[in-house]
Amino acid sequence: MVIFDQKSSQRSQPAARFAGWVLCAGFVVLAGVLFASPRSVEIPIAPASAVDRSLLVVGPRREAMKDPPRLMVEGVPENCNACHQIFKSSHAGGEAINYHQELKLSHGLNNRCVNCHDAQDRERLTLRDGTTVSFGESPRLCSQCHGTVYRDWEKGTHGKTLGSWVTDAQSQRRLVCNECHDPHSPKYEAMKPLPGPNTLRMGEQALPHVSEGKRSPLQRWLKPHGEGAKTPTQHEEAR
Amino acid sequence: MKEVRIWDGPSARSGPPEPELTRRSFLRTGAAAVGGMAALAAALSPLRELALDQAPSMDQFLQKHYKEMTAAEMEAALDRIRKKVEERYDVRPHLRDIKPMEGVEFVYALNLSRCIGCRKCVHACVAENNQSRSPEIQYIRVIEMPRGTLDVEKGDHHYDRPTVPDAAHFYMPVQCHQCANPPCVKVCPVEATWQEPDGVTVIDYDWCIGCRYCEAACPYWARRFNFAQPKLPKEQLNPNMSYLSNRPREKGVMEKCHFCLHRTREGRMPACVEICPTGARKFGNVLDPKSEVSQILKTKRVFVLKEEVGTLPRFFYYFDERYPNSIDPEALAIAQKLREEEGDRYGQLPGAAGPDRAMIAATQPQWWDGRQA
Repeated sequence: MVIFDQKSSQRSQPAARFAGWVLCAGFVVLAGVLFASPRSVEIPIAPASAVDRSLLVVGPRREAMKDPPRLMVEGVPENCNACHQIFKSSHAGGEAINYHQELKLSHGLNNRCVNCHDAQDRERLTLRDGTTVSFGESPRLCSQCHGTVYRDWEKGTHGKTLGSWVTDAQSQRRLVCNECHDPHSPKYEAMKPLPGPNTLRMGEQALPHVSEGKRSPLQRWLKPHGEGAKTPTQHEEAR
Repeated sequence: MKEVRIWDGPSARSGPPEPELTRRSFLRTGAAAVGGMAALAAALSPLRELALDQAPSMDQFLQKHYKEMTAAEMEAALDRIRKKVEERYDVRPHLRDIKPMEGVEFVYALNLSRCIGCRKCVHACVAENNQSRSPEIQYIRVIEMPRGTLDVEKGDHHYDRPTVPDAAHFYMPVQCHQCANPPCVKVCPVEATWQEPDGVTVIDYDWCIGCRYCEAACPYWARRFNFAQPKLPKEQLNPNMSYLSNRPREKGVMEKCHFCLHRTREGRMPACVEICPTGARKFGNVLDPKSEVSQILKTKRVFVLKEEVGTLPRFFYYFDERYPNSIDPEALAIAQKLREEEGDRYGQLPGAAGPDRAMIAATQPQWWDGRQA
């Protein structure tokens, strides 16, 4: 235990008093600085970045051919047989001459029209055993080769369900194969990703080393004002 | 007899004499007072930034915890919030307090084999849930990870590619896992966050004090904090909102994914499920054996993220086994040879050159073997 030494305490009293004065003065100066500083620390926040709503449309990925199948011919919806009963539809060379030019066929070995389309009735699809199904029943056609995916789709573990999560609800709708996959080119094409996150939690702002010192009071005096008023933000630098 | 005095009252005369007011003591006391006042003013100076229109009203200040509010008090609170939203965004919101459904426990499943990392879920979520656009708050984080590892430390969520998916990576979106044993709920000092009977962990934004303990406790980086006043353009406000989910938040409160409970408690799908272009996201009631998520848990290879931390998430990741489209390599080789012989005659009719032997050989090897024999 330290015994109180009256002598030394007497000696240190002026020093302590001086320190007290300095402390008081310091507080006064601090208060003055805080009052003189701008009303709030202005943190530059980037303008709201919004993703175009047209990229966020809910629904099937593509429009599937429905019953009865129709194709726009010269701006008029025509059913398949209207043309196919008149015109010879296939050629030794294999390419479509007038219509269906836009079709990109990339389905592995399955690259013959009549493997899936019925040769006699173009408004129906043909199964392996020779029976035909309508376009609305196309999953049956796909299931002949893609049995495992088909079983998953039946259970709901593959594919997309819209409307409601409630099983057997009226509004629940499970999309069929060709509402996501193009049957002529079933593989998904690579797509452009939407913009990534901006994890600056206060929003977009100047980098510390090029900032105007708003976040560090000391830098306010160390750096002259006005210089580099437009500093590159992290986002711009990354570009 | 000596007088024993217990208390020196003000009338006591034997106490020390009142110190005289000298010039020195006046200056000393004065300086101390000025210094003290200055210090006090300095300490209080942040209050200048408190704008009066942002200050909570008395009703809001006295508002009770979500679970303690009576129906009438809740209605009053909802009315107050409606008014505030209308003032700020010029839209009358469809705001209500939706209670959980009976016999429902929500579970989420995500197919890692199907996710292509397009980030549509991220932005559909932001459009639905009225998050602050600036500073940016997003509930879903899509992590791009090198194939062959599940170590999220190797992942990158800032990936920026011209197109996705990248062949060398897979994509793992992470959001609130709605744990059955949630660490965020345990650490909340004011019980502003809790687990609902349908499995959704919710936040009472009016009760949260913004201490961010939950953010630190969450092993899935799912919680977001409003560091600054949230900014949301008026025309982007989603007026369909509920008390515990997507009503506009204030600065200084926590928020996170709530499985879009203003939609899901009315039978609809969460926004991220609806937008997913590949159907990688699945949502449903795990107590219903026929639901898609029950089927996934039953038949798929399922895992949870950071199983070892014991949080028991209600968010499951799963894989597809490789789908062999019933082509065995031997049959495929035969088919390819046949195709080369015949050439690619797309429109070939059966009458012209017989059936497509290559396809039949590939998909029905037995048939081909029979022909050969």
